[in-house]
Amino acid sequence: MDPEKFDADTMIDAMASFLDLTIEADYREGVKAHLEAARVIAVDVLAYPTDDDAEPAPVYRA
Amino acid sequence: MTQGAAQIAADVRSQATSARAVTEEALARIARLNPGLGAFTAVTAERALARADRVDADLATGIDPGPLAGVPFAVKNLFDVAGIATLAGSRINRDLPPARQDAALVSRLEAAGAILVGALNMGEYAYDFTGENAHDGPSRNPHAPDHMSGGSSGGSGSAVAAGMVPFALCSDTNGSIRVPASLCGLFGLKPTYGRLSRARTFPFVSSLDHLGPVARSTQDLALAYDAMRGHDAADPASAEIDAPALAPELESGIAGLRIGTLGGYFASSARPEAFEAVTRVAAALGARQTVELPDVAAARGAAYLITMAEGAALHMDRLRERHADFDPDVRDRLLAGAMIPGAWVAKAQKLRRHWRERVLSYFEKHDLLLAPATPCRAPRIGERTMVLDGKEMAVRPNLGIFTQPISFIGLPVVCVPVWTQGETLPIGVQIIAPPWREDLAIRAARHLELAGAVRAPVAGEA
Repeated sequence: MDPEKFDADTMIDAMASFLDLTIEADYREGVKAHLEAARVIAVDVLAYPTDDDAEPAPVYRA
Repeated sequence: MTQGAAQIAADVRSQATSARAVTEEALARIARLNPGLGAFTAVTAERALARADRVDADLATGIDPGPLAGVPFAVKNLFDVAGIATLAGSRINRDLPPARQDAALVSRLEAAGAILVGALNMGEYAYDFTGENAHDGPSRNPHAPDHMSGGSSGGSGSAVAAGMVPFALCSDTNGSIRVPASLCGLFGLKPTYGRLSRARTFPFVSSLDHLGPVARSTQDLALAYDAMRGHDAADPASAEIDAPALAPELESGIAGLRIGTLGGYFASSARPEAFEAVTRVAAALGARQTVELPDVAAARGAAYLITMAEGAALHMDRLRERHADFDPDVRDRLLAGAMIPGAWVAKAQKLRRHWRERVLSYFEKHDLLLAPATPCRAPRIGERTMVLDGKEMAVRPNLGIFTQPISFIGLPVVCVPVWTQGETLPIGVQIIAPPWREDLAIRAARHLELAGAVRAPVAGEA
């Protein structure tokens, strides 16, 4: 994913409207920082190879 | 209350002292120390004294009150305690009605003779590694009160390290038992996922939530665990699997155990003291091989994303209706979590199962693996960033960089406290075992304790 192509403000506005959430001006920067951090972290996760038939572990059994 | 649980129980059972005397001493110590440390958010004095009298009455009539007779303990305030609201570190939950019943683990401990003395401070909704709390103030590190206790079970770490109680219960979603254990210098047991019942506790990320104790000795850790173990149908994740007692295994030693030290991801992004602690523990255990797990950053990333998204899902209505009442640090992360694509979370859960299988293959050649618990000793309260490997990082999410990948796949861990010469603050090392083998990790921890390589003194006695 290209970090240059991500506009956090546009996403926050769209998703806040979609989810009926209020993002006040004084904490918009905080939300933005966390979204940007998540997008960086997601790069490794999305690059990890999994087959189409890989089972997820929503209820995990150790 | 600087005695351990095992000694207190022995003295109460032999009637060398009474449960009431022990409880009164604990309550007095809490009254004296808590104002400066912020560990407790509720003290259940009346209930505790009534319970202590019951233990004493049982003993007087020849009834065995159990292996934890008269031992005071406290719980992170996300455990239900009948008669008080389950805060989970929040302002919002103060509006909840009082819990009607105790959490399953509280009931099990009291059935073994232990005495609940209160509920403990924690990071809001457990989304925290610092022990700070915007509503109740920080729980402080008893070894240096201007430093963090670690989170999110900060009050648990603070109360036990200060000698207010010999052990306390915590939750651990990504490291919240092991981070306070590391920063406060305690033994912490994060059992295998599904091992201890979570019934009647306030959740955070149900697919990652674990519960467990912190204590000042391996013996007390084992005593507490042994009283809590066993399947509970009231927790859907509770495994129907034998749960052998740990106390009988404590003196089994480490002969024959193959112990490796994790390298790669676990040997970078930390201050030298984190690696020095691992080196010391590895030497005392005779661990010579280094093991490098694959794709740890991806695994940690998956845990991070699942936590953001599942945490946000849990709190969606509160985020919509009560956003001003959250701790700002927690609210901002949860709001961002609400916007994470479902495809990322599904991918993260696939990665989880796949990565688990790969990591389990390393246990064919090793019985235990060692890793740092935290990348540094306790930061100062209020510190927002830290520099690791020359890179500035946020403190709050990154104190858990070494714990998060391990709990992600549910592996059991005993965290052991290391003190180096002249240091006023400890740092922890994780002893990681295969699923359901808590016994192996505690045997190694006990060996280290006997060898003097690790110790958990009450603050002021270090």
